[in-house]
Amino acid sequence: MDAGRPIIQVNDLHHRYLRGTPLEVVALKGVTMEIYEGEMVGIIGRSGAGKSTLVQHFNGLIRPRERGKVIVDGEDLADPDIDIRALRQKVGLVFQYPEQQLFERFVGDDIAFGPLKMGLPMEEVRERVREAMEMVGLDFGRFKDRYTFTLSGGEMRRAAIAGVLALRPKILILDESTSGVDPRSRKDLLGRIDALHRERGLTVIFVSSSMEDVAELVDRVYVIDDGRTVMSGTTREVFSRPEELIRYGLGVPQVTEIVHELARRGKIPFTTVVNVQEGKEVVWKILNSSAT
Amino acid sequence: MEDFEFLRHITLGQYLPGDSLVHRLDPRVKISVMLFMTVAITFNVSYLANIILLIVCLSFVLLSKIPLGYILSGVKPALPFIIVLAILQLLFYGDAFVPYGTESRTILRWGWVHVTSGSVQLVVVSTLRFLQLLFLASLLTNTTTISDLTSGMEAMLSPFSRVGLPGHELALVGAIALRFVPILAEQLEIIMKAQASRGADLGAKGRLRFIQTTRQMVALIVPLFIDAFRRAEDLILAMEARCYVGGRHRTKRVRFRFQRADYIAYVLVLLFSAAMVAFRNRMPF
Amino acid sequence: MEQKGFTVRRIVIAGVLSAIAILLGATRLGFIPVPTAAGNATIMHVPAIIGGIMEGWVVGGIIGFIFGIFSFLQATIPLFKDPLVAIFPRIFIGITAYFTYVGLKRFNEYVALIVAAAVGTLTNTVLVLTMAVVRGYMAPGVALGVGITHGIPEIIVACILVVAVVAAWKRVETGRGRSKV
Repeated sequence: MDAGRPIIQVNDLHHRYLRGTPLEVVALKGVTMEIYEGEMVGIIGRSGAGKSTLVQHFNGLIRPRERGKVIVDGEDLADPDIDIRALRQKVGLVFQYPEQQLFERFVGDDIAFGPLKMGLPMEEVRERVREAMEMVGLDFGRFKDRYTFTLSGGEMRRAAIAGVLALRPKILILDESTSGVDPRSRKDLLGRIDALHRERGLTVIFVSSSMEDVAELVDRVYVIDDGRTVMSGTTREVFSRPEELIRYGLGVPQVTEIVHELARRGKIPFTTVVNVQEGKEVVWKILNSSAT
Repeated sequence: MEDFEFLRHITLGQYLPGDSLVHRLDPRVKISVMLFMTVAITFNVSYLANIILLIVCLSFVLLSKIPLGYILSGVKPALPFIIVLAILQLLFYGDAFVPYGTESRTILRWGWVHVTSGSVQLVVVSTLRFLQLLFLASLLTNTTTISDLTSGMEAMLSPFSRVGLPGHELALVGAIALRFVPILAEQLEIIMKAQASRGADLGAKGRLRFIQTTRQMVALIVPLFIDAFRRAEDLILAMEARCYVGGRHRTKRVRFRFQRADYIAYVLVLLFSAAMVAFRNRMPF
Repeated sequence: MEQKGFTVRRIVIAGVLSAIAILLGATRLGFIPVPTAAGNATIMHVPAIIGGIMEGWVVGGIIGFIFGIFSFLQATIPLFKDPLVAIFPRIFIGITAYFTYVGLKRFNEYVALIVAAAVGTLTNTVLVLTMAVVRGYMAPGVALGVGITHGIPEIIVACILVVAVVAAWKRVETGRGRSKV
């Protein structure tokens, strides 16, 4: 996986909102990370840590104007002459609260917004909308003529993600886009994103405050706190350091915590599990050994 | 064009904390001062009267300890426009304006250009007037918090409720409006960013700019209205659920009480404004 | 809706629409660059029109009044630092729009919206410019020129916006009940 060049490279990135006014807020004070093509990377951190500010740099909604560099697919985002629309087509960003991002009257129109702006012929637009809707599990025929504001919360999220997928991006960024949906819907959606990543090689950046989802889904994790990168590594490495995570206002998945607790009580050697399946195996092993 | 941050810049006459005499005045007094002075300014067209009024307004600014540069900096972007307008008024509006009680003399006539004493006076006086009102308006908003401002307005309007003018309701409308501006600004930022992320080109160029910008604006503003209505429905429901009833029987947490300084300021400005209005046609120049 | 006086609904709608008017002014989003010397046309009066149409003339009048106070307080040019130009004319935008809408609604909802938007916009343009002339900021000829160069694009944009917003909210049929795809 580390064979390729990084598709996103962030080096010592700083950002201040409302620079030079009395209301100035420092949002980023030194973020460094590398994301490789085809990876699924998680970014975690407490609210206000700077995650959204960071990912909005990736598609050029915010440009690096102070210290630090952002290079996406070989292009330096500080360069004012890059083709920003091409970049945004390549880097699809779904925000928090997707229900606030649907702006057209009909679901079909909303998802078609991007392809239409790209100037594609209607046939191709329709094809892309259909494809994107199937990818997130919305039936094309049933949903395209629905009013956007009559959708349920889960459907709105799917529609918002489909609107970005219709651009056929190389990189998909989900900024807390799956929080606040009912458990079944979330599980289904996460499964579909995982499938996109596996089957189509989509690079996925998953920003979340749900440790469970992160552990379940991603290969590597970056932890952001107070505008800085404070931890990074594979999911297992990061979740094997619970004390640090707690210091940054985070935690580990419940199943990870249980297994850590078992190790602390001397039942097993210290191990870090990242999903329920692994946890189950550990527990079985203990039960089996104590039974004999 | 690529900057969405301007939405966070919105300042509704930014309140600047302070402890000056002007800061401490009762909001009702400040609003009254603003009204009295505005009336005086509106009625006076003579040079002398406007110089006096400007000096008074300037002294208010000094009393408030708000930096003069801060107030004037807001005008800077509009300055070229103001200057062009002033020059146009000076050169071409010679016949349009004859101040009361004066004879307009022609100073210069050359082709279309027609400068009269009237047009000179118009330009000078409207500039002075502009500065006076700018100082007053900035003072009011820079030294009074928004909640004081709305409570003050409500308190001033409440006596009129007996004759059917809904003072309390009007103040509530104002308070809701001010409360919703930042919320809607944030929503606007979200919509703009979502559209930009999907390839909308905000900030058009070229000759058909008007049509392009209009289309983009409609695409942006319609969802903003719809979101505002949705939030309004939520608020209506919440207020009705708590059995909100406005009006005279509502008690208030904060009550204003006039201090000595308030009485003095009120009476002084009232007398001064009345005098300025009364003597408006007797100014020597 | 035919209820008299201030309902909670009217207070809230008036407040929220005033907030939009203020926001449009504060962000300069409410200005459209028009291809004339005049520079910018404004749509800041549109919330007053919509308020009038949806909740009656009182709401329309209040939104216009608040919009006026705001444009007076924020003005950076002498013309709008005069309350008689900045505030007074604005009160009537929503009022004329409301009565136009009510008068024409019986014939056709769609037409009523368009004409109400045009009348509300004209009220703004004509009254502001009249006050500007009366108060000596502009010569009548210039005011007429500004009225035409500003008024026409403002009317067009206001009509589009009013129809789009009211139709979207009330879900009035506007000829298209399906998505494009």
